[in-house]
Amino acid sequence: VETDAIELAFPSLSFEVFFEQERESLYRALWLVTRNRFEAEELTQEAFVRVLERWDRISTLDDPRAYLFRTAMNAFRTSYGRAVLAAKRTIKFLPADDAISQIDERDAAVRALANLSPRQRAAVVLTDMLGFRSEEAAHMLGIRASTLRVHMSRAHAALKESMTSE
Amino acid sequence: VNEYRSTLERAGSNAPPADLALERVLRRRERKRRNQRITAGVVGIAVFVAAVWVLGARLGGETTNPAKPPMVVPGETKALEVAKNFFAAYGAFDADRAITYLADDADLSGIGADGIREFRLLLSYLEAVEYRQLHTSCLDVGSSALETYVHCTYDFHSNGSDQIGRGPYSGTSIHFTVRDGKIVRASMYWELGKYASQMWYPFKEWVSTNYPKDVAVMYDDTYTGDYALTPNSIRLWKRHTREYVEQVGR
Repeated sequence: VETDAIELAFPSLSFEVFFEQERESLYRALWLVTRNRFEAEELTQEAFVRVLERWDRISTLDDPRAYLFRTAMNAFRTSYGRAVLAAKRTIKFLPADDAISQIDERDAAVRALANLSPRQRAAVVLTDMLGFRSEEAAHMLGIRASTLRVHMSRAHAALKESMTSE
Repeated sequence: VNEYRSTLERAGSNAPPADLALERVLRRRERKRRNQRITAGVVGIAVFVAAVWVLGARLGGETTNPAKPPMVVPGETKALEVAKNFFAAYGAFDADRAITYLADDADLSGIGADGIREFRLLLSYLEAVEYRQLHTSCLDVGSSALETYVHCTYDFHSNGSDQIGRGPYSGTSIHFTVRDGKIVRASMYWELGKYASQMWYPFKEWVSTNYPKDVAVMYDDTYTGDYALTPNSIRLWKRHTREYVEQVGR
C-alpha cells in the first residue's frame, strides 16, 4: 500500500523535479541566444507552461528535456513569439537588458556571440553546449540542415576568434 | 566541439539571476487557462450573433438588403511591399532583382546562404531542382522602433514533385526583418516532414544507386548531408533532377 501511495504521488518524473533540473540550463541557453534576460525569462516560463499543459504525456517520453528545448525554440522562432516580444519591447513591458553591456566587457565569448544573429547563436548553443545532434537542432529551429551548417560555421569562427584573443 | 562547449558554458554562467520560481509558471498557466475560457466565450457569442444575422438576412429577403459597404483594404506598408517583391524575385530565381531589396550587410544565414555569393548559388540550386513556390501570402506582423517584421507563408514543389504527381508541400514560411526600406534579415522555417519522405530521401537514394560517385559532390556532409552549394554540385542537381522526373514519372 505504501509503495502504491508513493507511486501515485510521484508518477514517473514529477514536473516539479523536472522544472528544478532544467530551468537553469534552459534559461542560460535562452539568455545566450536572446542576449536579454527578460526575454530569456519570458521564453523559459512560456516553455515550461506549454510542457506542463501536456505533462501527462511528456513525462512518459524517453527524453522530456528534448521536448522542453524544442518547445522553447519553437516559442522563440515563431513569428507570433517574435512579434509578441517585439510588441512587449515597444510598449516597455520588456525592458532593454542593460546588464549585457557589462557582461560583454568581461567575457570575450559573450561579446563574440553578440555579432551573430539569434539563430546562429541558437544553432551553436543547441549543438555544442547542450549536445543535441545537428539534425535535431535543425528541426528544433525549423531550418534546413544546410542552414544550420552555415549558422554553425559562422558561430564557430566567431568563437574561435574570441578564444584566441583571450 | 568540446572546446566550444566549455567556452559556451562559461559564457552562459554569466547570465544574470532570473526569477524562475515554480509558482510563477503555475500562475501563468492559470492566466492562460482563464484567457482561453474568455476567448472561447467570445468566439461562441460571435458565432451566435453571426448565425442570427445570417438567418435574419435570409428571412428579410431582398427588401432589407443594404448596399454593400466598400471593402477596406489596408494600405500595404513599404516593408510589406519590399518583402513581397524580394520573395517574388527569389521564386523567379532572379538574384539581381532580389539583391536590390537587401541591405548591404543583410543576414541571409537563416535561409542557408552565407553572403551574396552563396545567395546567388542558392537561387541557382533552387532553379536546378525545379523549385516552385505558390499560394504565397505575406503579412506585416508588427514592428519595433527601427524594424518591421513581415511573415510570408507559401507552398512549394521541388525536385520535380509537381511533374510526378506529388506535393505541393505546405507549412513552410519565411520571415523578413525590414529596416529603412531594405531587408536586413531573412530566415526560413521549412516544414519538411512530407517533402522529406516523398521527395528528398527517395531522390537521394536514387542518386546513391545510379550515380554513387556524384553523392559526395552534390551533398555536403560536413555536418548534415544536405545539398552542397557549389557550381559543380548545382550542375549535377539539375541533370539528375531531370533524369529522376523522367524515370519516376514514366
